[in-house]
Amino acid sequence: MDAERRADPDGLLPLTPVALNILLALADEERHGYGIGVEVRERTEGKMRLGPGTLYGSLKRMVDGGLVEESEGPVEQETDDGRGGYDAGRRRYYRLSGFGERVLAAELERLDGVVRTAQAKGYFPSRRGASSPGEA
Amino acid sequence: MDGTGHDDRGAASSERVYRALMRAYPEEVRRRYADEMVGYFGDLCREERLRRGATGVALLWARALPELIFTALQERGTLFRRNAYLPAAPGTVARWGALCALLGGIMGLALRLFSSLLGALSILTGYYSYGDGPLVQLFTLSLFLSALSLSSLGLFGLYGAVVARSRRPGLVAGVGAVFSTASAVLWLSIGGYAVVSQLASGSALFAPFEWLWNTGSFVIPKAILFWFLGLLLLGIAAARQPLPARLRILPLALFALVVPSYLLRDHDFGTVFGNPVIAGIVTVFGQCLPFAGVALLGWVLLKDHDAEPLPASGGPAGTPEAPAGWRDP
Repeated sequence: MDAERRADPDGLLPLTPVALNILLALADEERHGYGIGVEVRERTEGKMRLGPGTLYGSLKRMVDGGLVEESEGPVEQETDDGRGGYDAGRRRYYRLSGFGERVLAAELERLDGVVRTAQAKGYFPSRRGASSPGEA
Repeated sequence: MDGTGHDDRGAASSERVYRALMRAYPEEVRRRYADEMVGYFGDLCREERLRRGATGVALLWARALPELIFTALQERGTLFRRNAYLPAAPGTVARWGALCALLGGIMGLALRLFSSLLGALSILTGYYSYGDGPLVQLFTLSLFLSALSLSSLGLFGLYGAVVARSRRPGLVAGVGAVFSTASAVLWLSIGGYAVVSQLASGSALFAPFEWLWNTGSFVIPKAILFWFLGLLLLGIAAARQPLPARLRILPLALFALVVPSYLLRDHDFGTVFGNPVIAGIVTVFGQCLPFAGVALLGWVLLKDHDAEPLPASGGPAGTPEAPAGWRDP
């Protein structure tokens, strides 16, 4: 991937909240757009709702930048609640690229540094069960 | 579920409307993501209808519309900065620019002649008052339509910014586009004010006519100057581009046409020709020249693009640079 060869992950930091949450949504499995939107909304307890323009605008930039790759995805299955949804043929799946994983790790490391600084200054409660950025 | 069919129909309607609104996005975005975005929005509609019924769908639309407008502008701005329109459809923007020039030039020419005819009628009928009367109403209408024609010319300025897409000429042409558009907006604001005043007062056409006249007298020459300056910059930018000779020379030639008409706008041709009719014809001819030039330029550009697309000069979209705006949400 061109972007992987040319870009330094640190040069893309800090990520916007939308970009960070999309990368997080793709960290554990590949998803289609609706799956990303639902995952982000549920994980943020409704605080972040991605509209179509925001979601796909960000995905487009991340695909162009080599952070995210399009994929065929798993075999399409019925949704859990039985809703028909839209035509399965229109779904395109997205997954993190190797470069995207490195960018995400770098961003989490940066955020971890921010938290540690805040803790050192007494502005942030101690972490409970903290995990390394690579485990995120 | 009882409402499933109804839900699907409602979602399908929303999808259709959303798909129509997606015209706001650049073609590149639509080509790549239109189906997915529409499908995503349809899924959100079904979800909201199941959760909160019609209220949920209405709230979803209330969130989606501003988001659509904002992100569409953002995408267009990003692509415009990266000149990414050009590799996707090199002729489209240029064709619109040429059409704007053609239509704006024709409208400007026709309305200039129309205004001149009204002026002549005013003189012949001895009706000099601008306070009211049918001639003045027509004059105001022509002023407003002239402003509209200049709006087209302002859009034409954007054509220059796109055509001259290398670094420095592109920047110069962009400044020219801003000047051209500012000129159009100023004229439109004055014409619009006149029409609104007429509608509000119901009788006298120029309600606060003195104010309008004084303001217009001050603003319009500046606007014209801005426009000419924009044309000059466009001409210089185009002349430096690796384009066919006609495209390089015509903008400068156009500027050569409009400069004399501007410099001589207040010249008393009556004393030169000794005949008010000839002097009037010369004046009108001079005023029509710029619009004729713009229309001619648009016609040539349109024919040229029908024959052969503009050669691409290698904008940044084709380079392997990292996209500048990818971090934006």
